[in-house]
Amino acid sequence: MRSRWGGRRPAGAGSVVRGCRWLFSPPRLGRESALRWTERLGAVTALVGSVEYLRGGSQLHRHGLNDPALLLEPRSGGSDKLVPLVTRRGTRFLHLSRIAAAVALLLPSGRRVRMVAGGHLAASTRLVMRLEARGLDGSDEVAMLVHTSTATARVVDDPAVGDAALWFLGLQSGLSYFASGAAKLASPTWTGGDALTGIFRTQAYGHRGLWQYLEARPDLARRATRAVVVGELVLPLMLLRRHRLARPYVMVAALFHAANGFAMGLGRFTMAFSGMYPAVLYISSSTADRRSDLVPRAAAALAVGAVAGSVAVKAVDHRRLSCVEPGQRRHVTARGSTLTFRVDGAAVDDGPLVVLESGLGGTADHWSAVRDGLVRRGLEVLSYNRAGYEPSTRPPGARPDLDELCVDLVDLVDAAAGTRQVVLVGHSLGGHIVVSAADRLGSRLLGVVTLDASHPEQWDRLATSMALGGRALAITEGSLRLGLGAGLDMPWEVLQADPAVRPRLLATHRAASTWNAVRWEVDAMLRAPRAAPPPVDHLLAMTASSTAQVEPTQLDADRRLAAQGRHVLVDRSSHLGLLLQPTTAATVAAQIAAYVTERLGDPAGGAGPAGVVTP
Amino acid sequence: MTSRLTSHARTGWRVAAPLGLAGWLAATVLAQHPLRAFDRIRVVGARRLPLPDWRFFAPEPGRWDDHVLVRVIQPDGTASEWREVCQFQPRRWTHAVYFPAHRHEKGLIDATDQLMRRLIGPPTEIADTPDYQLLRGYVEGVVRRDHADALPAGFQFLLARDAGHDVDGEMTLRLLSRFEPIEPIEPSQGAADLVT
Repeated sequence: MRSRWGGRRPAGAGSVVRGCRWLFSPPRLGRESALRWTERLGAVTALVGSVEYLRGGSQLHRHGLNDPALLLEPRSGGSDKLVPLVTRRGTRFLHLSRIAAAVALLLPSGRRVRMVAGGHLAASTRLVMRLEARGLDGSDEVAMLVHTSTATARVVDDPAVGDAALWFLGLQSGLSYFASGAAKLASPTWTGGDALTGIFRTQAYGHRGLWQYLEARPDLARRATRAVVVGELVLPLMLLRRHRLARPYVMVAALFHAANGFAMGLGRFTMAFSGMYPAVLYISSSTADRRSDLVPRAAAALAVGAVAGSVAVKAVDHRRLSCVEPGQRRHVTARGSTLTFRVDGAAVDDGPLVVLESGLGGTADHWSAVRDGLVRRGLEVLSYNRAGYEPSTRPPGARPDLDELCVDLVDLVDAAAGTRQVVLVGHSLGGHIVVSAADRLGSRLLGVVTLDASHPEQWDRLATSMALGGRALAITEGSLRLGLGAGLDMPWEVLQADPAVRPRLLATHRAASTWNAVRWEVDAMLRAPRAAPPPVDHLLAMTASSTAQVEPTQLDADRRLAAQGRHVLVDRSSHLGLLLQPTTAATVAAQIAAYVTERLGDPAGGAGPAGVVTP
Repeated sequence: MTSRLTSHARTGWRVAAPLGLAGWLAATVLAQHPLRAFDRIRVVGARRLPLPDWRFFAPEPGRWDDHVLVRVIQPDGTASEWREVCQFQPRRWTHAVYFPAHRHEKGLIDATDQLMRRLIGPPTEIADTPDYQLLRGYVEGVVRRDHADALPAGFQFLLARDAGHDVDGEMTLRLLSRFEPIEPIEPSQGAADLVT
């Protein structure tokens, strides 16, 4: 038979063909071989890591970045009793014992020796991660997985447990690349192609030569950046055809890490991640060993069950937010918004109605503590949910426009207060809304109070942060619609709020409708003119101390807002804490009540004393 | 009796180990949401679960370098120039295999990052927090090492961010510490405890 080259193949063609056949053929790796290779590769990682710590990498000493006296104190979640145990000699012994355990795994040894050595590496890795908390990276996490799973497999001589450990590591390998790629999709920096140039620009993880090369070739830099994202997403998909693609998977992954090792100084990643490759080859093998596939099935069932639980939480949240609370009323505005509101307290001698306007993402429930404080002081208080915040609704097709929110507010005030005097109180975005609405109330307006008001001059910076964060808002809303709300972190202020209102606050934070409303209002802010609304006389502006610390422009803007009135700095408070921290909210309520009294007593009077108040 | 217990333990391990690994894998999957705002599963009570975070350099990659600078202040009030406490090592091919200094560099990045996150957490006196005290102690160690012969009255440190190799890029000041006095060392404390 003649070959396509007319009878003679070029030299080396046979090797290439054999090489390709080998590359795309199913691996043949038995269970015990896979476990031993995993242990050996993990041992090399541990050995090099401990040598690095012994040769100057450790910061576990006085004046170190992991000073045990500070790292282990109770405020850091530790115990003072542990501090005397952490000595230079002890640390040295720990790493020398890790080196000994690593050597034991590199040498031929029986199951029990490997169990003890692997178990020691697993436990000591965990300990090192606790003690040398600053300076860790992903290679340490991989090492923990490798040592723990292989030691687990050695406790009993059972094929099913060995298979469980290898399935665990093989799937973790695929997950690591997929999760890394998927997270990059959330970032315009990655999808827009700017990430690699930025990373290589750094001294910490970069490379001057590569940065200069990519900086001079922006098209290449963009393609390379996007290739990283696509590569990380596609690589694990090869495991779906793992019988044919396991070896290419391992080769591509190893080359990827080797490149990172040279370019970014992440050599530890190469060693650590290679520890999972024998497991990948084993789960892809056509081997005579009967293999237990319990782990992938059980993990899938557990994950689906957890998501189902989260979906159930979503249903409970929805019921909680949509049911009508005692005293809750509805008002349909002229532009078609349906606003749910409540009125608490009873004014004394036909006193003013205090109207509370929430911030971005806020609802009437956020005002609970402040509202109670005002009611106790004899004031009548109206609080409501703006259009879009469940159960209030927006007219269909409403364009994002901050002025529409002012129109809604005035409409509600007209309906609820009639000709009575009104005091408007606004938090954050609500502060801007009440200041904008002030001149539409005419003589009914008794006064305005702002708490950490949002200012148009800050919205240019909002535009910059939305260039990166806008996609995050959309992903958040989408994730909540899918029922993943149980995984959403809560602001610490919500966790410290009054227990009576906390379930509704949690439900609001987890509601997709809340984030939809947030996106609508952020869009409205970005479209709004940057000019400040007309000044309001006798305005009381309050600023949270931590807002002033983190955002100095806030303090200046609030002081300008209160130029014809009074400014107060609320000490030991945060932006959300003004409303939700019980002691701070009580202080805020007292300040508002005093302001109302002051306004009633002397409507044309000058400003009272400004200053700092401490809850 | 002992062999029965051992047999029960083995049977228990044969069941518990695969289920435990399956649970760990499932929890790892659930902890990889692209946004870190969905990381609630990682913390139970006050404890962080040992769930690996595979979201390397994502969603937002680090594109700036954080630096810690220090200046010493003498008893007469004169202050030195600002200088960096730890410089990043230029990339070498050996870093692909062996790079002990990277633990130190990464540790400094972690320390500055954690301190900056304190500013957006519950209101607190920053200088009293363990994160500030750790960084303060680290900088003090550098000052003591570099001025062993004549200790200054104290020092000040600052956290700055710049554009790395791009020397034309902007540098921004992120945090400036208060004046930190230095006490003379007591002989009983021992030089062995100091950073070397």
